[in-house]
Order: sequence, then C-alpha cells, then structure tokens
Amino acid sequence: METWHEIAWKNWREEITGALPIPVREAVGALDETVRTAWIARLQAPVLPCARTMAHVVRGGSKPWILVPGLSWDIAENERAVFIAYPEAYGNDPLAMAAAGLVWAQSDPGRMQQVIAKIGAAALWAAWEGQFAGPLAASLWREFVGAYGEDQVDGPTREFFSRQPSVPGEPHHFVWGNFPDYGTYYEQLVYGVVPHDPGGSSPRDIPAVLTALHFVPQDLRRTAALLAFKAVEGQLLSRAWRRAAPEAENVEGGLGPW
Amino acid sequence: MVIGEAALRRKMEAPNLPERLIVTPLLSAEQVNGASVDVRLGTDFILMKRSARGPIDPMAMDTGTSDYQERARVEVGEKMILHPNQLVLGVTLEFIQVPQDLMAYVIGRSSWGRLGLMVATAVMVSPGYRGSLTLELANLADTPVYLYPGTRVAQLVFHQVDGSSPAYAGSGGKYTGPVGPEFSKLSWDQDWQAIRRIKPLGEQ
Repeated sequence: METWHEIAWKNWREEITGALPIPVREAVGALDETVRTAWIARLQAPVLPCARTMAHVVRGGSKPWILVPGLSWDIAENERAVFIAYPEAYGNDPLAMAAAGLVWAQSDPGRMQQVIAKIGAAALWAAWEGQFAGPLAASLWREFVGAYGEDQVDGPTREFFSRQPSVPGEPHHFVWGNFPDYGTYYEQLVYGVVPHDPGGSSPRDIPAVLTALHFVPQDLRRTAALLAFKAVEGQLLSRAWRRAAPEAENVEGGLGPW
Repeated sequence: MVIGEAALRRKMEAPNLPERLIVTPLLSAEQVNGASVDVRLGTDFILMKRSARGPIDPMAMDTGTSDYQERARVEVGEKMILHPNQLVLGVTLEFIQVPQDLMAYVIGRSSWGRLGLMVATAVMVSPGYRGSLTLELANLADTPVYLYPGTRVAQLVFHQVDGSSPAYAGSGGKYTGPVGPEFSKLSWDQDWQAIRRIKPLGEQ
C-alpha cells in the first residue's frame, strides 16, 4: 500500500506534467526514474527566449531538445528527447547559451564537430562564457589553437582551458572554418546598436556576431548580449521569412547551417 | 522636410555609424517605400492588468509594477488577443537608430485603425534615439482582435532637423537602447520634485 508521501509525490508529478504538451509529457515519462522528479521540477519555469533560440542554433541530432532553467548545466537523454538544463543567470546571453551544444556533445567528438560546423570558433568562446567544460574541453582547446593560433585567444579563456584536464584516449581532430571576421560587429556592439549588415540586413555570419560579443569589454557585456541576441534572432527570422515568402522580394540573403 | 526613399536608403548605408539610419532587421525591402519605413510588431509585450492593491501613482511607480503588469512573449507565427478597451505595450520588431540630423513620427497604419487598433501615442522619435520603439496598443472597438507579431503595424516618417543637440545617447536620455517594450518612466521626471513641494493655493 502506498504511503501518503508517495501519493503526494505522484499527485505533484501528475499535476505538473498534466499541463505539458503531450510529446514533452511522454518524453519526461520515459526518463529514468532516479532523475525524473528533478526534471519535472525544472519544467515548471519558463525557458528564456534567448536560451531557446540558441539551442535552435546549435542543435544537432534528430531528437527534440527541451531546454529548462536551472542552477547549472545538466543533461538527460532518452529515445524521445534531449533535456538540457541551463544556468538561468546566464539565460539572456546568446554566447553563454550556445554552450548548450557543448553540453549535448559531452564526450562525443562527432557531436562536437557538428557544433563547430554551426558556430565555428564561437564553440570555444561558448565554453568560457557558459562556464562549461565538458570531457572534450582539452581537445577543443588544442584543436582551436592548432587551427587559429593562440594569439586569437584572450587571457580569461586561455586560463579557463588551462585548468581543464586532458582525457586519455585517441586524439580528436576537428575541422574549423575561417576565423570569424567580427570587427564590424564588434564596433557596432561597443557603439551600442544591434549588429547589422549594410542597409539594415541582419548579420549573415552568426559566429562572427558571437565572437564579437566575446571580445566586448566587461562593463558593456550584458547590454551587448541583448543587442547580439537581437541580431541572431533577426537573422533566424529573416531566414524563416525568406523560406515562407519566397515570392516576396527580400533584402536578407544567404542560407547557413541553421 | 520629409526624407524620401532614395535619401532614406542612402542614410541606411552611411559608412559612419553615428550618421547611419539603422532599422534592423529588415525582413522585406518593401518596408522602405515612398517617404516612410514600415515597422513590424515585435514579440514581447507588457500586459496591463487590473490591480488588486491600488491605482497607479505616476509620482511613485518605482516598485510593485508586477501588481498591474506582466510580460508575455508571442513568437512570430503565433497570435495574441487584444480585448476591447485593453491596453498592451508592444515593441517594434526592428531596432532603430535615428541619426542626429533626423527625427521621425510614428504613424499607425490605417488598415489596423479601421479595426479599432490604436498603435502609438508617443508619436515623435527624437534625433539620436537608439533602440526598439515601445508601442501603446489599444483596442478601441467592441470586438476582440488578434495581434500577430511580424505584421506591419506602423510607419516611420523621417524629417530633417537643423541644429539638434543629442537627446539620447551620451546625455542621459530616459529611453536609450531598449530591445523590448518599456513601461512608463514618468516617475523619473524632475518635475515631481517641485510638484511634491508645492502646497495647493489657499493652504499656504
């Protein structure tokens, strides 16, 4: 016979999950019982738009990602979905939230390569900005420096990665694109406007916007994050608009990996 | 003098940031048309609700705004309902910078007005303004109406200004740089200090 405590927890779980969309409810139900209650509790709070959008930018794999605010990064995955908890305090920062991709990658170099293919050099900045060092941190650092050189890295990021232990095993190799051309967007962020291309178009190069944000001075950093997110959001919306209204003349151009 | 389309486009391409007219993102080239720039309804809203504790005192609004307002996010592709006599603060989808030699008027689109939707009351955008524009959305009709983020709700008509001084950036202006809707900052007005001290005539 169930105790009243067990009944109370059961009712609590049912009350919260009953308000969720059916696919989410089913995905939560498929989580391991030892972690399910903690994830249900997190699902009560709404996800911040920036966190949700950046998860869309870095998302890989075929399963849906379900983002929830928490105190620190966490991940649970089953056959139905990937659950990722992000530190809510950083939730309005697009570069910190890009670390969701690193959380998803964990120790899988194939996944890490997918994230790098989407945000390039910003994958490294995201680790420091999101304060997440996964099992591949040392490989990420080594490969980044091999591709771009250590001169491109600022002191705090270098110091962060110097503390990450190497994981024994085969070396991983990642393919990086060109280093982002971020100067224009950096100038715009420091000046205090949303990064944009000529004529008001949204920036086609999201990794360059994220890289620019990484180098913004700390006293401007939180305001710049809002401006950078507005640029990322604008670019994604422009792409969606272009797909939805192909007959309409559109000033935005170029299609990326998102 | 109203700024025409060709001049608007030149301003939007100005190489020097402070001299540039910025309207971003521009989802459609048609938004710059004739002598105006169309702006779209953004995704963030402040909903006004009936207060359980007391009226709004414009002299002291620094605390407790959650009693009569709540924030909501409605993505492009979704819709929200605006009831008769309801006031909602919205925001333009676009971030705007008005260079120092221009000012703009915000004019609601008549197509929406004919449905009863009033879009903006703070119709002037000063030289030097930078940020998204807060829109005061009110349904004056008797029938609820849906609002769709991403739709064109207003247009900006720009005028040349001679000899303006910075009204915003760098001079402590109140509305510099927001990317979402902002509630009234009426309580910041310096006039309140004087009004508090003045005794009604006849009581002195």
